[in-house]
Amino acid sequence: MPRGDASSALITDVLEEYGSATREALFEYIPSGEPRESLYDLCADYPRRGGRAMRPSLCIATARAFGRSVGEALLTAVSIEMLHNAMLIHDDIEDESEKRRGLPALHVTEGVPIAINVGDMLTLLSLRPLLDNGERLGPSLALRLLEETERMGRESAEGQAIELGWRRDNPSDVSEADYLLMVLKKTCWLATIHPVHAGALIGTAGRFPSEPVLRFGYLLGAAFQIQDDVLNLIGDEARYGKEIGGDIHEGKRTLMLIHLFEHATQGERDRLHQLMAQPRADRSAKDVQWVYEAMLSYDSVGYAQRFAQGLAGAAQYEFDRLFGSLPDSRDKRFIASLPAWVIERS
Amino acid sequence: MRTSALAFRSASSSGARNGGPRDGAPEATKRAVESAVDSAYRVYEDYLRWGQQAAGIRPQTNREGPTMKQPPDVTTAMFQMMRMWQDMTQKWMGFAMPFAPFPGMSGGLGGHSQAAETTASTRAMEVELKAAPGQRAQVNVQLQQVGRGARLSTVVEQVGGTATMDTVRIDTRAGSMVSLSIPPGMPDGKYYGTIVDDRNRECGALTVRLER
Repeated sequence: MPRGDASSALITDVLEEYGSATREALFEYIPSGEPRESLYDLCADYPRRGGRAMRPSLCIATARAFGRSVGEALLTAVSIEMLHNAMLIHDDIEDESEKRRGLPALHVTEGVPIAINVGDMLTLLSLRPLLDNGERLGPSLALRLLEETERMGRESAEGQAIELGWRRDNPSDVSEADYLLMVLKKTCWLATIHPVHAGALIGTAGRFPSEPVLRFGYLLGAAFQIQDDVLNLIGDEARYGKEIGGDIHEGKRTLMLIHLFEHATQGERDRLHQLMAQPRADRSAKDVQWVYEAMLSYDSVGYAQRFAQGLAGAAQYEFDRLFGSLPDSRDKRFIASLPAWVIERS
Repeated sequence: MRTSALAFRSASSSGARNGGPRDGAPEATKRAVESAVDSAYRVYEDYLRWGQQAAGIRPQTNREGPTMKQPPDVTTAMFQMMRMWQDMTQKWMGFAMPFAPFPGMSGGLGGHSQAAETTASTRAMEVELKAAPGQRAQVNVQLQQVGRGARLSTVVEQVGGTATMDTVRIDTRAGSMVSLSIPPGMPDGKYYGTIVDDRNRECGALTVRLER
């Protein structure tokens, strides 16, 4: 089997194995009592739809790479997955997204008020596994993981605020650096930094330094986000699970849009600025198509793909510095394969 | 909401116009990659600089990548941080776990009962417990791998109170033996102590629950 295929198979296997374990444990944390139809059944909706389970798998794999058991990292992984799903529900409302994991978004089927409440409940439910960590990991480490979760939640909310502010204020001078900072906060903390750091803390009884993880997680997470934005334009909707072109429709500031703003003619920039200033409902399919064609015309999509490749390469470098001294294991190879995987996935 | 389908196509199927680097051109790829990495590290360093105080992260501006440094030797400041950490832990236990069993505890309390949890990385360990008649105690010890003969110590303090147990002895010369004698008159409640080595590095934790 070619090396790339072997890596891909490894990633698929690990995601499936740890994702299943996480989901199984997650459902134990969702109450089965009333109100079910307007709350608890809906808390299980997004988790039941599947998803890659990259975040919990990364947490478990990191702890395993340090020699710990799946069980020692499982509750933290559950908390991460719960919080991720809670944030997805709220993000879908804030972004006015229509689809999630191939199905209508929760607020589309249940209405915004109920979806907000479900997201709130999932956020609260995500605390319980962290408290239960005390029994397995001891109070010091459990508290540390709780604090790290609080930090991650704060960074994510700040990142989301930056992006929502851009959509409200419609600035035309958002730079690559602004975008990367937003992604660092909004995406990387929850997607990669926190899962790896939590796993490393579990693996070292709370003694693993934050900074090297932050660097690796940031580069990996940013490559992941940019590729995600690319897939939003050129991906297969059935596999991607969201509406293709949705980011343009939502007016999201992506690397492609920033690149387009920088390279378009003045007339095109004016039109783009005007389009982005409109409410989402006023942005027509024709408008979205025009933006998309312009992005292709200026090679903004190709630029973003190359940008993501650069970040993935840097992430690979940081991985070697961070985990190189650990003994070889399936979990270490899984993490090592992620930088290439995030930019190759379709 | 959008209802009509969009006619998107692959990025590689279109030719790029002026302004942007052409897809597939090696020079353009090299430039884009270098620019990406440079931008990313600059943003990262700015982020660290802006946030280090709030985040409690030490800045590291070496662009060659981080080195896996061992934690520095314990200094006075580190010791104070450890004390603060213990205090925070006790406060947390006070509000978050008022009725929860300690790690490793199973079932209710029994006279002169003891419990010791071992994890995958915990070496074989014995716990010896002495308590006054009528006093029920339950003990849990978590200990990382330590070298044979390592000098370990702990001061166990009452959670939410002022009582202190300084009667814990940890012997690592042959396996690990934790001996704890509960002084008469110790108030009921939960006690917690961080186990440290002779360089004040955290190696584990010990929890005790007393009840008459």
